[in-house]
Amino acid sequence: MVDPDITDLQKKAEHFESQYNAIKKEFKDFIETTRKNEELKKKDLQSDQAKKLLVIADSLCRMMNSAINPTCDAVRTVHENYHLNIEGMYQQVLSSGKLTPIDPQPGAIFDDTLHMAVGLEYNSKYPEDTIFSVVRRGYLRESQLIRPAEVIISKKPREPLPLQKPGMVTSIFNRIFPNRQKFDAITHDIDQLAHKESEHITRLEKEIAELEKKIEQNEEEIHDLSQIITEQADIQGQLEDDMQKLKDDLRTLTTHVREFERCISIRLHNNSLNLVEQMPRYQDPYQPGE
Amino acid sequence: MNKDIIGIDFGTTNSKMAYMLLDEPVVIENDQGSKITLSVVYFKNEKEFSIGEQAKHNQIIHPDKVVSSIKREMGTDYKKQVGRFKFPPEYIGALIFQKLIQDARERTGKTFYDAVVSVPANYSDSQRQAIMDAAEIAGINVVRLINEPTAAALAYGIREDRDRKVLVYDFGGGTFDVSILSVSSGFFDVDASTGEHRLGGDDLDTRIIAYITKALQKELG
Repeated sequence: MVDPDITDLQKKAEHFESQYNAIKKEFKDFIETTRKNEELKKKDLQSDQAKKLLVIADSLCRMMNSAINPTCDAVRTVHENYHLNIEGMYQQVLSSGKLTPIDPQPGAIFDDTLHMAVGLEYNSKYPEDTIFSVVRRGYLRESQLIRPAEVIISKKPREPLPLQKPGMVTSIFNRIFPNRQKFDAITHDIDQLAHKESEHITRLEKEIAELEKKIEQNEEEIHDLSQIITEQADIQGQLEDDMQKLKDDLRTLTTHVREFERCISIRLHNNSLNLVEQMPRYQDPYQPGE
Repeated sequence: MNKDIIGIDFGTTNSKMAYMLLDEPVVIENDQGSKITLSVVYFKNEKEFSIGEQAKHNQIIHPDKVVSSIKREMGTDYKKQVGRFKFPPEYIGALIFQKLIQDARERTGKTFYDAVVSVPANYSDSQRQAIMDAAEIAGINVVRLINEPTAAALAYGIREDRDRKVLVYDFGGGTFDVSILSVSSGFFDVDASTGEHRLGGDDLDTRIIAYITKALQKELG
């Protein structure tokens, strides 16, 4: 015969054993899940890091796409070098983050796993529901989507709504109340006129605004031109003054030259007289001395 | 018997899930590694659909095929027409629940059959029933519906150890709720709850976008 205490103890032992097994299984599951999650966390961390790089990649992308067309050759060369440098930096950023850009061509098919529609463009250039343009490039990291490419989708141009024919009830109503129909027609005409008038006013207002803008621009130009004219007049006056001074100088110079010439001629004359005086006198042998 | 219970926050804009791991609540990430899953469903056709981020990518291109903020329609006669079928809000909610459960299974390696789902404090009985139905369609047994302010209070460490009054301010993606709870004798009671069901972070986003667009139009023409 088995002791009841032993039976109890056995039951307790079994209970604890089953509890232990359950906990052991749970712990094993937990370790397995943790191991699996470790890989996922690693991937998540890598994608988080890659996301941080996107800010730089976007800035570089914007700089590359800036439309500057310099006319000067020297500036163009500098600009081209600058462009190449930026492109190099962009490629470096992509390779350091192991990023692959998603840059679909216009007309490509929209793929919701890689692209995100951010706008619509009504045109007939590309087929319906295809990509019209890319607003912001998307990126993949080892086949994991970091950010979808933000794209504008091409849609067919909207057609005007067809005019609705009056139904039977409206026709009967119109026959019973012909004046009402006329009144409606007049009201409709008035509404249309008011609409046209308001459109006209809006257009005129726009034109007035444009004209005002132009007048303002012209006034600015006139102001600039008048300033230039004033400056030119000042320069002309200064030039005239200089000319007058030069003329005066020339006159003074001419006077001096003349005086100088006169002096020279006088001196030459005097010199010649002296020479004559200094010359030995001819003594007539037939004339008695003085 | 599987004792694991998943906690689901079925939100107007975003949904989240969590479970207890060694007596600690842990938020479960979805297949994209994000802690939040967008409550958006895109019906590609009558049989194919996608949920979350991928669904949102189609919102502009196919607005008629994308359903968002379905929580607002719970308990109403709203029907979403897709092809020949008309889907009620419970069915669309169920698709989101299914996606959450599936992601949770992939992340944790556990299959959850039981769930606690949070609902707004001012939800009517029919709305609560609609949530229960949605969960049932998704194959989840809802063990308890918990009021959102109560869940928030519990999450912030307010226990039932002493009697007090708590104000919970919940500014979500689609709704704004303020509730006053009284904690007494170990129970949470919602004394008063009010809110604006059409005001949330999304509305702020829309206003900011409109403001910037207007400013740009004014500046650039």
